[in-house]
Amino acid sequence: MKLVKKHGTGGAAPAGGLLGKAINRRTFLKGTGLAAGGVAVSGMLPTSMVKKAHAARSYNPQAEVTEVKTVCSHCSVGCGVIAEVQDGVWVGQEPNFDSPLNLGAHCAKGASLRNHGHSTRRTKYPMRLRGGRWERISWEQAIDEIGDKLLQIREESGPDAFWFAGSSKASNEGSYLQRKFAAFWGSNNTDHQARICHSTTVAGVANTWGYGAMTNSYNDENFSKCITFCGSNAAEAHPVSMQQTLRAKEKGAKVIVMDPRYTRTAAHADIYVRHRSGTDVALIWGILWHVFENEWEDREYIRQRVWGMDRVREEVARWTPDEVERVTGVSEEAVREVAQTMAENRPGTFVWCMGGTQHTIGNNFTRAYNCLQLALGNIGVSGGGANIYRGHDNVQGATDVGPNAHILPGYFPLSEGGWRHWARVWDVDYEYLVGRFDDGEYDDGQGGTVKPMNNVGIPVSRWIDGVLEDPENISQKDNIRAVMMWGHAPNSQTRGPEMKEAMEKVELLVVADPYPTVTAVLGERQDNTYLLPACTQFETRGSVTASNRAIQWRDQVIEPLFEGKPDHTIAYLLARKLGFADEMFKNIAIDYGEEPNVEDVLREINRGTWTIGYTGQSPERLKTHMRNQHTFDVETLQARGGEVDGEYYGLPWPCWGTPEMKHVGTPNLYDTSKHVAEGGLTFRARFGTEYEGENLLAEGSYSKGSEIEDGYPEITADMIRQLGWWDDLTEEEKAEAEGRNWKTDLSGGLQRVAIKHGLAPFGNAKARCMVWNFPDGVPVHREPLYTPRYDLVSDYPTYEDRRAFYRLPTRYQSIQAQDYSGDFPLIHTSGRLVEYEGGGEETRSNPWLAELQQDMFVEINPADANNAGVQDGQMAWLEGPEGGRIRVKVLVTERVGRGTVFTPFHFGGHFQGQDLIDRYPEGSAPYIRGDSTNTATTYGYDSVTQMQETKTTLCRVTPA
Amino acid sequence: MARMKFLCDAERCIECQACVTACKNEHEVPWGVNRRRVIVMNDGQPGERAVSVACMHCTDAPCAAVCPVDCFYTTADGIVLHDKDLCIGCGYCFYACPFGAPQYPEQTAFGVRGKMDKCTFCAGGPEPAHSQEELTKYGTNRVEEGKLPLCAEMCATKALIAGDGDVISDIYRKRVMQRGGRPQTWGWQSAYGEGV
Amino acid sequence: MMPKRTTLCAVAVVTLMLLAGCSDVTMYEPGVYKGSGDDTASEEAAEARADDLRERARTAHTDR
Repeated sequence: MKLVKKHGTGGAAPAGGLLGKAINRRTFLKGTGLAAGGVAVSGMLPTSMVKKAHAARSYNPQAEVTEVKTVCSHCSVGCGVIAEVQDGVWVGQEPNFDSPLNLGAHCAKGASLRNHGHSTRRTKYPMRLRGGRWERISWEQAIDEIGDKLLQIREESGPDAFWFAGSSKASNEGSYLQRKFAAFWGSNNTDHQARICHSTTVAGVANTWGYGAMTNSYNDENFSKCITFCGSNAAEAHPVSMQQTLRAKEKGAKVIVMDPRYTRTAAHADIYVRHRSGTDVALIWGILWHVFENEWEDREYIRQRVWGMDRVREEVARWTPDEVERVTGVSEEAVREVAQTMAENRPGTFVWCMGGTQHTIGNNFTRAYNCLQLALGNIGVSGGGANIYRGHDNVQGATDVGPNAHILPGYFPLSEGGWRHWARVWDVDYEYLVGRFDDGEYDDGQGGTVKPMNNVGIPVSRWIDGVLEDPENISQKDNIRAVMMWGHAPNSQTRGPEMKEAMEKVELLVVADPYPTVTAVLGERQDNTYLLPACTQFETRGSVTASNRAIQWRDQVIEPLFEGKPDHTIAYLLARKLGFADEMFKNIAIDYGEEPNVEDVLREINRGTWTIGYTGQSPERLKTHMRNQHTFDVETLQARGGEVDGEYYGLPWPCWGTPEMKHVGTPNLYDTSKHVAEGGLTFRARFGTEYEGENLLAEGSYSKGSEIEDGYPEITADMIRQLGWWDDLTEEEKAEAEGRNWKTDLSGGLQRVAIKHGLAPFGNAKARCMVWNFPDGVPVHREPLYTPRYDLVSDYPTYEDRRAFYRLPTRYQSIQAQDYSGDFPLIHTSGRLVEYEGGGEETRSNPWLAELQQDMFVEINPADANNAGVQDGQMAWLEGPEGGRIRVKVLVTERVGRGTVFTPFHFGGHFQGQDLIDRYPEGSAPYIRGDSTNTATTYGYDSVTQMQETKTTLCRVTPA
Repeated sequence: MARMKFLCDAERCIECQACVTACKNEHEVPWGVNRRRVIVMNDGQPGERAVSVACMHCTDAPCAAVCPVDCFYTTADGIVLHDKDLCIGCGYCFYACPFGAPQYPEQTAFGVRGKMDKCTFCAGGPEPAHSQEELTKYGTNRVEEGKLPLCAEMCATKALIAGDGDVISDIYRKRVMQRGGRPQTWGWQSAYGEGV
Repeated sequence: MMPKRTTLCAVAVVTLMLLAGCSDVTMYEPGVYKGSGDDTASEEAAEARADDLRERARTAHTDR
């Protein structure tokens, strides 16, 4: 991208940094305890190294420089970081060569991490809007006023009238407490970024073979012979992962990129395929057509481990090369080359990201990818896998144990069984929890009614409809009246103009975030708006789960800047005000009168999360791994010798049983070549043992050392008895395990005994290619709601509208009924830039990054630019069919094909051409602001998860 | 005697800009001054490649040759540095440099207003090592601590490598052998022809 | 005439003496660096760090 030397606009001239003396060191030493910060920190941190050195800039030559190990907070690769701290100030950043995930490497964001410890653009203290002006208030006053208002709204409209977004940028402990907070408040109206990131992946993948997570790891690509990216631009979104990809390529692996845009990842591919945005199912079935035609499928693997491939075959048969070309625009020759390359280079891994998830049929996309990999026998092998690169640094962890509208921590359902399990772990009475919820019965959308406690909450993609929709149409007592954005950027959701309206309508709006975010400025509000300064993950400690399910421990680098507080402390302060802190923190120590003990929180997670094996990763074990990073092999991620010999880095889940059981973690899911005790696994028996008379359990396939050499259902106490292994349990385990199963036995005994006999606790089944409980059992292509190819709608129509789906009416057919392609001729797709992350407020407030991308822009093909009458470097209006329009700079490039334009989604702070700088609290506006992509995006939600459609909509571009 | 060199492996560079921000982070170079930048060729088209460029620490440095006040000197291990107290900010070195390395601050001065600023190979400048003066005028001195330039140490894909020319050419040669082809550094073909 | 000449001579003598006192005036010589010294630029300094830097390059840039 172009590098322009230019100054920020509108008061954006950044300070000259520390050396420019614009910031006094004392600014960062707040309060009393901090003068001795360096000492205090070094005393607390077991993995830190203290040394006398000249390292980096030295304010006081006499003071010690402490090295603290932490983990980058910008994406899911999990890059290790060494922070140098002196007198409590983050003075230097060194590469962490020992980390087996990044070997010291960083991308633009990771290499500028130190700015987190110095940014003045933050929310510095609690603030509130009064008469449209920001004023500083104390924490006590803020919590009191917010709490009083929440209690009043609860009294009038029930607990579901409060909705909050939690965060995948919180630690596991912080995000877990966010979910627990919602539970004790009495509502499922909480959600986080996974909804709009990989929810369709999680649903699609979990319903195919058991778990909704990346199956292998970035490092495991070293064993791949073919790496296929589809809707993933790893070079910008996960740059450091490319280190492993390129290593594999140098060893001979083929790299294939399929994307509507010729990305920087495509620049390193052997084969690049440009298909029309929104047609991945057609493309994948087109590839499979060649696979079946040439008998390249792995028949023995399918026979043993896959159910329903014959049904896929029927659907694939209609995707002849001609039809594939008609729908996707890709030639037979190109599709065949991809199929042959994947077939001849096994094992091959398949990578997808938002390009494959953010669609109205996103769950079909992800399941089509799965079917392709299953047909080739590529799942459950090293070098293969569905390598689903997650987005934020802890989006995997927040999905696993954090705030989700449709599940409890550990993917436990919202049924009575799920609640009773967690009530036991939390040591509270189930009836107490029931009493916290609204007891009414509401439309479940399937002809019956449901209580809010057992009904999915309103997802983050749809909260605006929870505010704006007629309450008669919502499956809860009243509209959403209070909203809290607890680590969330609103500009990453679609339908900006309606969001502005919703922000103006809610009675209470709270932002808990290190930065004011777009939430602080989008709506034209006067009162009842609060900013709470949450601190970053460098100002606290805790665990974080990388994309490969490995959990790393972050030590605290510095004390919170200004008046910042960590998420878990904010959870405690709010809970105390709202009257349920004693129950919620029953078994968690409270330090300094307000901070829940982070290690205690992780131990509680360990005690309850048996479903996905978050049980073996005690804080002590994780800290030991951080100390021994250098002993792990980069390709296998297994420690060779040393203190944790044989264990996999970060104890990737499932790490079965109790910490004392010392399970090594599972590096690659479903890999039968290893014993379960050594990280092996089978496909999960999650969908029963048979379907319409057909056997769903594995046939003749089992993990190494299994004493049952065939498929078997999930482990229960009864099953262990029948197998004659009951007496392998200790007396204490027996008492706890009686009547329970592998998910609910809090002793871990059932898991221990199953693994002792070589069994996977969750059973051994086939992966299923047809998900009978989804709207489309076998994935099918359906045209986007706003399609440029209206001629295809009759052949590939969308769904019927739905009355109550995640508590809300959800439209499909009624939108697609109108043809917009005449007035809005261009496909509008969106994505990431390497310099920024998410909604971008944090990264656009970092001058080292902001300087590199100073304008919101649109990439447009030369032909389309000429048709639209716009030239490179000019400003233009980009307008969507629902009326939202954004003012952007034109970048004419062949990176996008004819008929498609691309915009990055990280910008915000402008609304339809107007700079909102005056609405930020003084001095806290990001250096770079711009119109948000999502002001121009449109309606459209996935039929299973309510994932928003951001990758395929329509627009027109006109000169500004 | 070792000679310090940079090498950017275009087959690995993914234009991620880590080298640029690592430099900003390490030396707190002000907005508008870029000691290092990533140059992209064929942006957005098949054949797109990028290389990271900064001062290449030439053996016979053109900047030094044209400097009217002779403010440049070369360390014994081949790092080209300059004295900002002598520099008059004339900009002549900018025209002489084949890589566009010299930078000139516009507003917030780095050291003194208008003086030329460039990559130091993280080796500071003519002030006592680790002194406040060195830090302010030239940035940190990693080389003296036995460390290499942070841009290269933090490169996302280990595309940008730095250090003793013998060591880095050895590392690079091994990579090229692994790839089973000829070196793919930019300029190789024009220098030695297609067939080499 | 004389007094003026005497004055001039005196001024010249004084000036020369003053200049002689300024022993650290730098005279420009084309192609010669006469800026501040840099201890870390010397052969000894470069020799002293060479092994560390070689080891560091291997640590930082090889694909472990």
